[in-house]
Amino acid sequence: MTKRVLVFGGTGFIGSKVCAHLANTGWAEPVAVSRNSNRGFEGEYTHLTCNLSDEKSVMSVLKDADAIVNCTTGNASSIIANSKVLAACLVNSNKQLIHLSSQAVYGSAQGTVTEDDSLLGDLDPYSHAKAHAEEILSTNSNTIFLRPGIVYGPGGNQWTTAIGHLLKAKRLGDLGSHGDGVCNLVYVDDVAEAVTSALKLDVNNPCAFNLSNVESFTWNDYLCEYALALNAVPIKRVGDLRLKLESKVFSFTLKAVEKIIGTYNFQRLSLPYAIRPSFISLCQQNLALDSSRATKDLNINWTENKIGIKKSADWFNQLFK
Amino acid sequence: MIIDANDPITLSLQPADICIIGSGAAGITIALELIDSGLNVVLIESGNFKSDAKTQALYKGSVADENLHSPPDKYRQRSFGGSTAIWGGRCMPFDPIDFEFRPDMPESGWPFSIDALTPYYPRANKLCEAGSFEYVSERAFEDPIDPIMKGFQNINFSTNTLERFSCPTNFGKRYVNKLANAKNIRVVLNCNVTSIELATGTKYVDYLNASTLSGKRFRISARKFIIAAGGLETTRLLLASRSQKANGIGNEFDQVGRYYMCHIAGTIGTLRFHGGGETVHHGYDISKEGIYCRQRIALKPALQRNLGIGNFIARLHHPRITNPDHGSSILSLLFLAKHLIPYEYAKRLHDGVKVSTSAWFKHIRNVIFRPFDAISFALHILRDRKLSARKFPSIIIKSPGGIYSIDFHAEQAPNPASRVTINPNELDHLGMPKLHIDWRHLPKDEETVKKALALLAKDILESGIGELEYSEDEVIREITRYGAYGGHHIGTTRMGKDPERSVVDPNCRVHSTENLYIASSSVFPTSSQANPTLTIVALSLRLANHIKYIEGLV
Repeated sequence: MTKRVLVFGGTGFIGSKVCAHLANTGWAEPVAVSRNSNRGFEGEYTHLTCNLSDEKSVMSVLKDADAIVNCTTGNASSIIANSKVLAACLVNSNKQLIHLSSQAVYGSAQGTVTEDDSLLGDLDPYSHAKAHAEEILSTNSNTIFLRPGIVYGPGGNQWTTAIGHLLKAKRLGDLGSHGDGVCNLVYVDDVAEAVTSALKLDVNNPCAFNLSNVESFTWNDYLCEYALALNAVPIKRVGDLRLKLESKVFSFTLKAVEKIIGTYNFQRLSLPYAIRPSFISLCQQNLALDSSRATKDLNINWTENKIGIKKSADWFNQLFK
Repeated sequence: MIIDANDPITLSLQPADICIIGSGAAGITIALELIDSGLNVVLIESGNFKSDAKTQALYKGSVADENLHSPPDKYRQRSFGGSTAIWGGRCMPFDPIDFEFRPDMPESGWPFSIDALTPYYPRANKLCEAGSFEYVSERAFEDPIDPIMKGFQNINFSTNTLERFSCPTNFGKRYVNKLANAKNIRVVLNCNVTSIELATGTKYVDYLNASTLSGKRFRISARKFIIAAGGLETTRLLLASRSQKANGIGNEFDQVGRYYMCHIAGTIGTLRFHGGGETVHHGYDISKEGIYCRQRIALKPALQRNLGIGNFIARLHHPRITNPDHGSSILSLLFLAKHLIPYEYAKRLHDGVKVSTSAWFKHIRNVIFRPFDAISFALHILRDRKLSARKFPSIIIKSPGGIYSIDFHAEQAPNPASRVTINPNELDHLGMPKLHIDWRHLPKDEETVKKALALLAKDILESGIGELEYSEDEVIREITRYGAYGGHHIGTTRMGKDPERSVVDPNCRVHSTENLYIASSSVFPTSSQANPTLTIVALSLRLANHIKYIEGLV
């Protein structure tokens, strides 16, 4: 019997990979659900449009579903609002929910964290929202939270495309002491594999899995390895002053320009990527996700960082010749 | 955790498992390796994050000949990060031959081969931020790089080995966050260790006496102690710890302080290339990782054995800076700006030669008549050195006419008469006896340079690419003009298996104690041609691993 799986955010970076992965299982029928019409949708599976902030809209797509995978993201308020709607729709349904959470739920925690550690959610509004969303969705007993670290891979915007451009522009590189934090890399295909495995589990109480490659990688390791794979060489050593200017002056200037563009509805301008202060903090955070539970229970064969990075770089170089 | 010894703390009540004295390259490396090891580690630093004159003055001492050795408070920095705050960043490993017993090199031979350090060099390279551990140009670069001297026949010298450059990394700034965030590490600043105290009648160090500059005194207890205070200060501390050992700790056989080595260096001769400047590539190549690399002219090991001389490398160098006849506005600008250049660099650059008034005018004329060269050089230094996080390592000036000099850097032979002692009549602010340095070199050192240079001149001539002219007298003059190469403090607590002829065993433990170790270039039995920092870091990693091993952690 096939399992009809709704993938919210199914046309996005992670969601589309999840759909593609599920389509190959033989036992799952993925349905990509997104807010917009199927513009640009290329999957060989069903696509539905749904407004996740609207309970009626969500209820209408949930009817025939056996399971839901929630890959949506957004700003802090939309994360919480959408979670509330989803939780309300799932009351008494006993439908299986796989919710893509984030390492951000652990907030400012330091050292190695397991799924049983507290969800501090104290870093920023996003971190708080992700932790709060888990709390809201815990009302559905058949829920599995997947907490990936840095999801990268072909198609990824934040950690693959943006970082790629910044490395090519020599605005990022070896960050010295600012890049010593743990980079919990997880290749996007491994996240899709984790979702697929999680769908095969039946849980009576909400449970969680950290998703991160078991290789020990710092942000400097990632940035330098990726720069080499991109051929963004020689790798630039980015000094303290440069980083301060980028994250504290240039970043805010860009934000102001973005606001002006939004306010006056200018034609879409191509702005350079910003290096946000939160990114610099992340690169210094010594938070290592312990993903041994996922390795064992979800049976994940983690993609080697070197291989994942090479694939990402090949994709990037092909797209941005 | 970072602690200031001036704060109201009771260190003596908080014994550590491991106490590391000194937060330079060695001390910080060991502390980093012990993060999350389960061991309670205290890292003691005399200074603060920034250097200050009062603390730096604790280094003051005397030298037997000021022309041969710089004052003891130069080329060293007494603050968090130690002398990595002022180092040049040149990295290269020792060569396999450096570890061998060589019949013609007195007191040569390490108690192990290079294999003992090989596993640690790549990580040492990483800590020094010198990129991958590739020291041969063909392996470091995918595409071939230009040879140093086109057409040179590599008969007696290789020209494809590299020196790689650190940022240069200030270990203090670079790793302070890691240490501060480590749960099992306490870094104690402004804490001067004044003596090491043994438990009565035993071979165990019981505690350290320590003091702040303001006079607050306390004890530091631990199960194991590692002195990582630099070659000279490590020696001083051992010699000054005399409450139970009349000659100092580890000095039962009068070995502490002897065999003091630096390197034998100089800039010599006139090297004219027939093909002009186009046949020469003496500058830096940048690896994909962004590391500045430079090829060297290195005397092959077989020749060292055959000739019975020490290790030797050379680089092509610009002409003498003090002589305005070079006509280079850049060199003249450097000469005129000598007061703006730190002591450690200016000493080598300006030769200590007195320059006549007319020569001064000639230098000014050089700058005035070729201002664009000087301006573009100044901009290059500003952009690539002053404002860059990874600094352009040194001054490289291409000679359009193909005229260069030879910059040599050679092994100094171990010499028991070359010696560091303490002067009981001269005490520092904390009551510790000051150092007295009597650096001496041997005829063997002159022989190394003379024979290697003669061979190089012959090879250049026979290769038909140019001619190296110098006089034999010049060799001695250069060796004594440079004197002891600044900042390389080697050999004064040498490593060996025989307690009567060395101070520490092959695991860097002081022979006559059970729980005192040394992490420093002072344990090197021989000096190699290589700058010591990378090997200090590799040896420190090895020591950290040994500590973990004997603690049952690996």
